[in-house]
Amino acid sequence: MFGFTLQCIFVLGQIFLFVSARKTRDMIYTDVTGFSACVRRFNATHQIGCSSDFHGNTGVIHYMASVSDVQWLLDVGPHKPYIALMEPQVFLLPTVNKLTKSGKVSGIMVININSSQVIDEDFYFSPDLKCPNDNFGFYSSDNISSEYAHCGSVEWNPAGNGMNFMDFDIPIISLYNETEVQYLIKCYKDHNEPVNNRAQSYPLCAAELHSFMFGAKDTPTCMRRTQQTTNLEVSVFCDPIGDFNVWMTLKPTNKDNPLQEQSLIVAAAQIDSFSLFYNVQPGRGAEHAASSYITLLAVAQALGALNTNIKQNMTDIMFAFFQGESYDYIGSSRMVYDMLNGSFPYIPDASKTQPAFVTLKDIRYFLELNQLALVKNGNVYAHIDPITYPQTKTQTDELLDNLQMATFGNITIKRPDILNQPVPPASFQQFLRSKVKVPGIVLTDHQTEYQNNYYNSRFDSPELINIEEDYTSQVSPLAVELSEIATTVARALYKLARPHATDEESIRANVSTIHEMLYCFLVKANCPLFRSVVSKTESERLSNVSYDAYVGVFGTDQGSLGNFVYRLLGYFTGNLTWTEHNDSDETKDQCKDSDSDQISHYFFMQGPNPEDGYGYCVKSNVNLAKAQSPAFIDGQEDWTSTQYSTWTESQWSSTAFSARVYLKPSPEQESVIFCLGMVVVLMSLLVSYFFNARANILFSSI
Amino acid sequence: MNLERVSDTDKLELCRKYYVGGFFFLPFLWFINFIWFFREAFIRPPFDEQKQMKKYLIKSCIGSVLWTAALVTWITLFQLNRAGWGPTADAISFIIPKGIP
Repeated sequence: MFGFTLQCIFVLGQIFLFVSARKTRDMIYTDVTGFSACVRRFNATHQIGCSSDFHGNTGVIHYMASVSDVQWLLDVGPHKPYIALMEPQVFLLPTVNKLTKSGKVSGIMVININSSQVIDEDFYFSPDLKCPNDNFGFYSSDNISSEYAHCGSVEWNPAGNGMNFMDFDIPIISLYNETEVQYLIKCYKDHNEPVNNRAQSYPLCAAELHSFMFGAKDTPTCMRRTQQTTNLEVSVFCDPIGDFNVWMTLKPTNKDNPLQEQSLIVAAAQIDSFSLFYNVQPGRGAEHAASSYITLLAVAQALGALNTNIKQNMTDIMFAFFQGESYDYIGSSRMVYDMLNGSFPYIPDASKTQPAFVTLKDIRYFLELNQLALVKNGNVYAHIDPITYPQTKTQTDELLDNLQMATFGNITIKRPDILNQPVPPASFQQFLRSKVKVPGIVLTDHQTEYQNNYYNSRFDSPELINIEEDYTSQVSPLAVELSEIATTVARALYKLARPHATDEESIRANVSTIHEMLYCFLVKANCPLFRSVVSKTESERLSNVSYDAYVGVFGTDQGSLGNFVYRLLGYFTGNLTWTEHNDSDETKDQCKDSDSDQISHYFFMQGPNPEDGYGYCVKSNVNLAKAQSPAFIDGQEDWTSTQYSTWTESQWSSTAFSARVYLKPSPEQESVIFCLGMVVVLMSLLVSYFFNARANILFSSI
Repeated sequence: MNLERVSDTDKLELCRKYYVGGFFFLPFLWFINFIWFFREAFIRPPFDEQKQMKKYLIKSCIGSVLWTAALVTWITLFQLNRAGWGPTADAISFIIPKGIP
């Protein structure tokens, strides 16, 4: 009876505990989830980026809103290690260097809630080098006159601090959730804030950051270890970065009709950019890349709308969108490499219908668009390479003249005042580097140094170029300006392709499409334009923020941003057929590529007015070309290459990124509790020994 | 096994088996041999088989000391130099540590 009630009480007690249970863990820690971390990358010789220790980095939180807070930690702070919670204005290279050298800091958290509050006249932040892509451009290669090498004549990115290319062995994270940031600051103010310049005593608010990276040392080491098959466990340490270049020709070509020399006009732009932090709050490259590829898409749209008869009688125009340019010209170096080896666009395959092979000698003019959002007084600058200009004078002058004659609206195309100024870092430099004298011009909004003080950073955002966060149908001034540039470029290319034409005035870029593209690429991917170029199921999965402009790891699928460049290009220049389509039944998909045809490519889109079960099948000659550095081509890898990009990104586990906040007791209290525990263990050992020795007395059955 | 219940000849046989076994790259067998039969061979009053047992044990002891020295040297060398040896070190490692050169 007694035993039964005891059991009842026991069971009820368990149920009660279960229902009202709070995990002990939740009573101690508060998780921080709204952050993105700085990750580790490698090239042929170096390791860059950040990583935490395997078990995470812990430290007492110290909030820094000004330089005096930083000094306090360096001079006074007694409770090392600290984790610095920094306002963005304080997160600058000299400060970070001071903190890491002092040995008192085991991690950094950067507050990144509202970038528009930070962007102002006095604050510059560009984690790229002062001379971007220095050793892989035209001017630093062998046999080139050294006056232009290593930005000898003009330092393109004076705001650059090179932080992206430094090796920090502490984790650095960027916090974007306002509630959590307020929580951290409150925790600091309640427990840690120094009073009268004197530190508070324990318990103190502390944080633990995890961002452990698997790879180490450099690309050859981590790639070799990844490919090693003789170990017990198969581990991936790092992966090469890359994606796909998007390119097309205005009229389809066939290898049965090879291209004549000097018969192609190339118009190019760069798609990617980067920032210090990975994935969330990506580099969107608003000013740096988006302004140029969106303009080029508008040019493609304007020229794509031309009559087929007209297109047949024109010199062909090739549009190329390069990926991976920010990391030592991955996309353009691969395209040039393939062109030199006769495998552009595809490796020759007798069984397939393939587009005509393109070599560098086939290029008559090369026009690149690069950084166009900060145009001042309508001046767009045309940069010409001084070293090859003497040999390419005729064509380069033709290109420049046509651009200047075609100017539309408030746009003026000028050469920079300083003659003999080199071409800025651009994909065109890779074409020059090939030793073939390609005539070309790079159009930018800057005459000498960049106008952009936030090149390749998290601040190169829509706010920088005055794009509204809210969706509005009223076009922005930037869209109007870009449309004028696009019209100029489109008319110039048209005149170059059809020198005797007189109807170039009919070519106009579409302002509202540009406005839409700016919103979709930079603010929110789930927008009407993007929804119309995908199928219904895909449109339901569109992101509510913008897609990442970081090139990412090279794989079989194209990244999201590039995929939309591909689709928009197809939509603007391809043949659309109204067709029936069953989203759920893949086998009935009529609208797909055939294995033997590499010229035409197909995809399905639901169109601007979606109708269930129907949509458009787009047939276009928009192609994808691998943007994988030649240093990583299967069978001929050269991981120590100094000619081609060798950038790789470290691997990390799926649970690699985590952060939590807790109250840390004093070391003395921690030791006391530990010793107490040891004492209890020893006592219990003694007691059980005693019980064992006297067992016959204690447990006698009487 | 309780050595008290084993006859002396059997003890010597066991000791010999452990001694021989140690030559097959099993230094721990030598070490155990030495520890287990130490009392029998050196502390107990003399018996017939004790002389031979002593010989086995001394050889086992020397063997295990040599092995320990060799292992300690190799392990120290490897731990200190693994990062510096690059590809060769990776080729002879079963598990390559993550996150460090």
